[in-house]
Formats: sequence, structure tokens, C-alpha cells
Amino acid sequence: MPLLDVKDLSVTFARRGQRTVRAVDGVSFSVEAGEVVGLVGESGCGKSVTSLALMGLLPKQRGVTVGGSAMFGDTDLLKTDERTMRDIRGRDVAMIFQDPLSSLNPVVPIGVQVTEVLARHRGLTGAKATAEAADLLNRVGIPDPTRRLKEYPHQLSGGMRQRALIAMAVACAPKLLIADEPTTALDVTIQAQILELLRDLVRDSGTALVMITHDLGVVAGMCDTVNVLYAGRVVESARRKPLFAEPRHPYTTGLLGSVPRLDSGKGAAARDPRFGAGRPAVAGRVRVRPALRPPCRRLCR
Amino acid sequence: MSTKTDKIDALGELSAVKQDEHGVSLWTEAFRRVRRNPSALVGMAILVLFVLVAIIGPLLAPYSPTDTMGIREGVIRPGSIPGPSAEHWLGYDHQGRDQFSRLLVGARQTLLVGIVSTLIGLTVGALIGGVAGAAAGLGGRVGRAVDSVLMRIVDMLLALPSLLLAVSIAALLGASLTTVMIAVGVVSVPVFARLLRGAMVAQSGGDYVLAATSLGVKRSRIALTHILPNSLAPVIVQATLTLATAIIEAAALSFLGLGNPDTSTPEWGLMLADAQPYLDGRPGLAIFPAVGIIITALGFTLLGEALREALDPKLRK
Amino acid sequence: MIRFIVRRLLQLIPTLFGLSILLFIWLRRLPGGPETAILGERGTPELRAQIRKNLGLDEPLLIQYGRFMKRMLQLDLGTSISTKREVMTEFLERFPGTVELTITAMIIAIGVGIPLGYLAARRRGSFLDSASVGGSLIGICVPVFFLAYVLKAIFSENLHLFPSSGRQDPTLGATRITNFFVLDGLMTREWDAALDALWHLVLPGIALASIPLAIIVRITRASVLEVLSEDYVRTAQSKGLTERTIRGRHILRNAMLPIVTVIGLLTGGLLSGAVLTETVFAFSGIGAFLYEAIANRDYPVLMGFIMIIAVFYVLVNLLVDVSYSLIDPRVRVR
Repeated sequence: MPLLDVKDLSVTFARRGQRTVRAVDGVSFSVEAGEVVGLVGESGCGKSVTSLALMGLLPKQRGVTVGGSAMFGDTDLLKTDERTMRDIRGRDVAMIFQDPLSSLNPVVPIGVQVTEVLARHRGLTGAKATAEAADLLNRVGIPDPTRRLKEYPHQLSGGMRQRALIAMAVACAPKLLIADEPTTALDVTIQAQILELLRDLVRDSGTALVMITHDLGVVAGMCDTVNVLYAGRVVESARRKPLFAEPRHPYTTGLLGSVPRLDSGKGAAARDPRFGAGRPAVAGRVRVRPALRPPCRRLCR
Repeated sequence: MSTKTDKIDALGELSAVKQDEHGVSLWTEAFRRVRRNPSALVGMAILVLFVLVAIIGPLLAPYSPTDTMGIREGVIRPGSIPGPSAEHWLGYDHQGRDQFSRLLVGARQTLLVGIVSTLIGLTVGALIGGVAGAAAGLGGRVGRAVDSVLMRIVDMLLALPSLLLAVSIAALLGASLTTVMIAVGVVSVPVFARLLRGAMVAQSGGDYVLAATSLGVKRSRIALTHILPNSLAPVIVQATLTLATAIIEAAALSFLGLGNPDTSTPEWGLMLADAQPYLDGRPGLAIFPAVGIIITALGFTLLGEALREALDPKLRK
Repeated sequence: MIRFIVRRLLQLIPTLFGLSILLFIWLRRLPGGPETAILGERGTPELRAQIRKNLGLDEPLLIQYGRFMKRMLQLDLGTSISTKREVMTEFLERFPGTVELTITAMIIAIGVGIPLGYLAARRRGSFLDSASVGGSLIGICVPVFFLAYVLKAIFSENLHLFPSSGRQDPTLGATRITNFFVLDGLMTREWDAALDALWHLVLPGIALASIPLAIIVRITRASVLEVLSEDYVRTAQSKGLTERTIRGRHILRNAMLPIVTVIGLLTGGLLSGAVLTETVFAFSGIGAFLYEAIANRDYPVLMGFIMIIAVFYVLVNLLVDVSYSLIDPRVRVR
């Protein structure tokens, strides 16, 4: 049995007087224990909404509806009551966000933000919690952790902040870690370090990782399995190697082709004989899912 | 890419932005938003009614507002002021004048007090704030000095509680309607000055200012044609809100006996202040002008808040 | 932190200096000049000339200003025209009443306003939200003195729930120590006196609290709404923290920054409302006394009170800045 089994997840946002938006439309994927799974797609394709739905963090208001199931062990993450979710969040399933500066509370010292997780889920308080927090910061590669614990987010560098967020996420050795574009807001040089840290952490602890990204470089470097999302749907799901070697869905090909190259002025898609020459690479935001009907020979695989 | 835009993307484009909205000017967009805001419409309806009464009120009034007919007719006795009747819808006031007529005619003076005092505050405040903001934007030793001297003066005015400031001015000028308008106006000067200067300083850090500078546009010209117009939105919002507080503050000054000593000309604040001794026997004398003031102030506040929301760049898409 | 406070205190000097010049000019420009201010309208021309000489008004302006400043610094504010007592004595006797009233109003405004604003933001669009937004809009638009009269008419004259005037029942013969009546009652263990003084504070306190309450509800709601959309709140939720921790440490602590600023501004501005409220409730604080001073054109009192009040106002704002930097570590660095 997989660690996490998402079946037919759908999320719709309805607003009075406006058209209902189906942000996630029947997404299914599964994550085995210790596996690194990628969710890839451009912005607006439903990646982040998927992760928020799994964490139960979508705004609880009228108009937001979540359907499908996400079995995590015996519990369905989409249907569990808030109280159980609170116990699961941070302890069994943890999350790392995109922008480390805005994701940290600016008026609370780093130390408190780490120890509050330890106090909540592991009952650690006082000197014990501080020692454990210092140890965690050390593990994520923050030098001089005892000093850093007393500092505020604005006193840390961008990479350091993301490390601190990662320390909070892995504080309770969760079974599943969801990372939502963890390197997008960082400098290119820092990105590699953070990815390496994440890879080492999940390998050493056996934590499964769902990696949400638009960056195929990240996918190539980390993921065991890849799910390509487009317009709220999984259009292709494959192991890493076959995906890169022979993408089946045209969107995947487009995505691969949109990676900027220095060797030619155009993306790979333009050179791909399977595409008509000059076919525009997928650009802009996804708004409405184009009607793909069975006659389309590229729909099914 | 900013996080805010990302978040909107992430939430499945909750706001369903239309593509064709790009390139619409700040003000066109703002008015569109105001028109769609129900509380703004309520505010505007109130204000239209109020202005209408202020203009044609004297024509509608059944009696002269200064005619002390109750005394002439001998119906006013100490401790007994006749209440509403078929001839006098809201009864007589304490001097035997028709309360309904006074209420209708008084709207004009009330509107005048609000507008004049706000204009005084706006003009003087915007002048100080504009010069300080331009000086700060121009920079240099002189610019900074001018800015800092002007702002110290404003700080000084801010260091006085508003009513005390108004009272000090009234002490200088003696009690009259003009005094009330000047006093209420001066109280809002520091607010306008700070607001405009703050907005201009914030704007002068903008990229378009840098762009204009790099194109060789003169700095004084940038301040006038680029920074100033872009800084006016908060000032206009504040002016709308000040119209509300000005009417309320003028009533307070009248209550303290600093208003027009000649109470024959009707004005709501003065009527309310005059009615206080008769609250037990004839609460209506106070309640009607009070309700008038409250509703008018509410109208200006609703409109001001709606404008603020409409012009807030944070709330724009 | 101490350096920050010292620097802020030093910045006050030019403001207060300018204010003294303003007041000096004001005093000289009063209708009829200071001699009328002292003599009232009754003085004969000879008496006026005598007073002008006594006051040194025939000397150069700079020397006059120097003398004025010297008296100010010695806290010699002159004598009240109407009570013939030292202005400073009058002030010390009445200020505690106003402070008690102001504190009561602020406790009501903060104690009700912040929870209400918070709940309105958390339940955005609910009935509670619309009610508090609508109520606060009306609250801003009701003249304070009118509300005071209405409260007095309903709760004291008709329902007889609260006393209609004064600070304490004089028949209690309470002992005075600090002139803070509630505090005096507690210190002397005259519980009934303390309770009676507290009872007298309720209605004027509510009237005075109305505008600050309305503004605090609005700013709290807006501020909490803003914080709720911040990423760090989502982070806190993703850690599975309890509702209490998220509310206290992550939402309110950040939302407090603008609220504190507004509370500071309001506390200074409360004095205007106090003048009106104290007048309606015949509550002997500086407000009611100022009202009489205005009516009697008692200029020494007006000027002395304005000067002291301005200093207090500025100190309150300093206190706000200090507490602001205590909450927000980012301010401290600068």
C-alpha cells in the first residue's frame, strides 16, 4: 500500500457572479514511503492548490469545494476533521513553502518558531526544546545555531531562512514532506545547496517527498516519479528516466522544450519534428482546459 | 515575481481577472469600483439628498426659520414648548420658531461649515505638505532643510489636541461662525500636510521617477508633473472623510459656546447645542439636528471609505 | 533601547521650543492683550498701563520671551482669574480625574474593540462582521456630547442605574491622598468609596470610549484581515499549532503593530472628548475646568493647561514609539 494515495482530487472555487473555476480537476497520484515524487507544471496549473488541499489549508469558506480522496494510512486527508488534521500537520505531514521570508513570522525569534513545533507534537519544552532546536538547525546546515535561535527572520540570509523553515518541517521526522517550489525565491547558487540538503534529509530519514516545481532541472536531479500537471489535470505520469527520454504527451514535450537553452535561439520544441515548425511553446497562464477529445491521438497513452 | 500574484495564481485565480482591464487609468478604475460598492451608493444617495436640501431647503420651509411666532402667539412658556402638531410638524424650538423650517434651512449652513473648513485645511495642509514633499524629493541640503523645518511646524500643531487647538484659535478670534470654520480647518492642516508629504516621498522613490531622471527631465518638473498627481489619491480620500469630522467638530465647538453667538441663523450644530437645556421636556429639539448631523457624517464617511478602498493599490488586482 | 528613548526625548526639544514661541505669540495676540487677559474687561486705562509695566510688556520682545520661558521652566504658570488660585495647583487637583476617566475609556475601547475587531475579521461576512463594521461607522459619526446626553438621559435619569454627575458621592466623606479617587479608596481600604468612584466613571467612560472604540474595531479588523493573508500564518497552520498559539503569537502579535500606533494617537486625542464628556456629566477633571476657562476667558489657565497637556501628549506618543519597537524587532535595528 502506498504511503499517500490521491484519487480523483478536485478543487473548485466559485464566486457569486463569476464563473466557477476548476483549479484541480481529477488529479490522481500516489507516493510510496521514502519516494521522491514530482508534481510539475507551469504556474496556475493547480500544483499549489493540490498541496494546500492535501494539508487541509485551503480557505474554509463558501465556494471552495474539495472532492476525491487522499488516503494517508487509514485517514483520508480530505475528509478528516480539523482536530485530527492539526495532529497530523507538522507531525506526520509537513510542508515547506516557496518564499522563506514571508513564510516566517517577522516578529518572533527563529528559536521560538522551531520550538513551538517541538512543544506541540513532541511535548518538548524549556532547555530540552532549545537544545533540540539547536540540533535541528545544525542538521540543516545553519552555523552557530545557538546564536541564530535568538535572531529574527530579517537577520538571516535567504538561504538560511529556507534552511530554518526546513528545520521546522523535519522537526518531528514526518513520514511525508511536501515542498512547494522550495527554491524558486532563492538565488541560483543557493538553490543547488537547498536541493542537496532536501535530498540528503529524505534519504537519511526515509521521509517521502512531494516536490512541487516548474523547474525540470529540479525534477531531473531529484525525483523518482514525475506527474505532469496541466490545467488541473495529470496529463502524464512516469518514472523520471522514461519521461525525459520519450515524453508521450505533447504538453510534456512542450514543457521540456520550453527550457531555455543557450546553444540555439529557440527551445527544443521548435526543433522537435513531432511538432509543426513554429508551433508556439506553451506560454502564459492556463485558464481554460482546452477540449481534448478522443480523436486527439495524443490524449491517451 | 511577487508572492501576492503567485498566491492569486495558486488559489485558482479566485478573482478571475479579465485581460482587457489592463491600461485602465487609476481614476476610471476607481470610479468603476465605487459604483459597484453598495455602501458607496448609500453614502452618495445620502449626500445627494443633503445637498439638495441645502440648495432648495429654504424654498420648502413652511415658515421663516427666524420668526419667533411661538412667543408672539404666547404658546411658549418656561418648561413647556409645544411639540409636533399638524401645523408644525416638528413643533416649536425654545424661542418659538418652527423646528422643521429651521432644520430644512439649517442644512445649507451645515454644509457650508463642512466645506469651508475642509477647504481651509486642505489648501493650507496641501501647500505645506506639497512644498515639503517636493523639497524632500528634490533632495540636496536646501531641500532637506526646508522639508524638515516645515515638518517640525506640522509636528508642533499635531502636539496639540485638536479641540484645544480650536479653542486657542477661537480665543484669539472671538466666537463666531468664521471662527468655527477656521478653527476646524486648522485642526486638519497637519493631517493633510503629513499625508501629502508622505505620499510624495513614497512616490519619489518609484521607478518611473528614476526613469524620468535618467531621461534628463528637470527635477522640479518631475516633482510637479509626475510625483504630485500620483500622490493626490490619499489626500482626496482624506478630504471626503474630513468633511464628516468637520461637521461633528463644528457642532462640538458650538456646544462649547464658541460658535455663532447669534443663534437666529439656523445651523444643525448650533441647534443641537442650543437644545441641550430642553432635553428632558423636548428631546426632539436635540434629536432631529443630531440625526441630521449623524446621517450626513455617515454619508461622507461611507463615500470616503469606498474611495479609499477603490484607490488602494494593494486592493487593485 | 535607552539610546533610542534619549534620542527621541532630544527630538522633543525643538518641538516644545517652537510650541512655546507659538504660545508666547498667542498670549500677546489675545484680544486686548495680556492685560485684558489678567484684568478681564473691567480694567481702567491706568490699571492697564500699570499691569503692562508690571508684566514688562514695555521691554524688548526677546527679553519678554526669556522671562516667559524662565517662568515656564519653573512651572510657574500664573494665577487663575476666576478662582484666584495657582494654575499648577488647579491642574494637579483636576488632572487625576481626567486621567481616571481617560483610562476607563481606553480600557473599554481596547477591551471591547480588539476582540470584536478580531472576531469580525475571522468571521468575515458574518452578521457579527457586518454589525461591527456598521456600528463602528455610526460610532464615528455620533457627536460625543450628544451621546453623553443620551446615555445620561436613559441610564441615569430614567433607569437610575448610574449616577448622573460628579466623581463620587460627597456624603461618603472619602479620604483624599492622590486625588485618583478609585486609587485612594483602594489605598485607604474604603471599599465603598472606591466602588462609588468607579460607578461614577461608567457612563462618562462609555461616552468617551465611543469614538476610540469604533476606530479600534476598524483598525483591528483591517489589520487582522491583512495578517490572515500572510504566508507565515499558513506556515503556522501547516505546523499543526493550536488555534491559541496561532491567534496569539502569529496573528495578533503582527496585527498589533498598526493598532498600537492608532491607540497612541487616540489616547492623545481623548482629551478633546474629555472636555465635552466632563462638561455633560459635571465630572470635575481638567476638561470641565477648561470649559469654564473658555467661558470665562481665563487665559492663564488656558495657556498653562495647553502647555502641560501638549507635553503629556508628546510623551504618550513617545511611549507608543517605544512599545512599537518592543513588538517589532525590525524597528529596533534602525
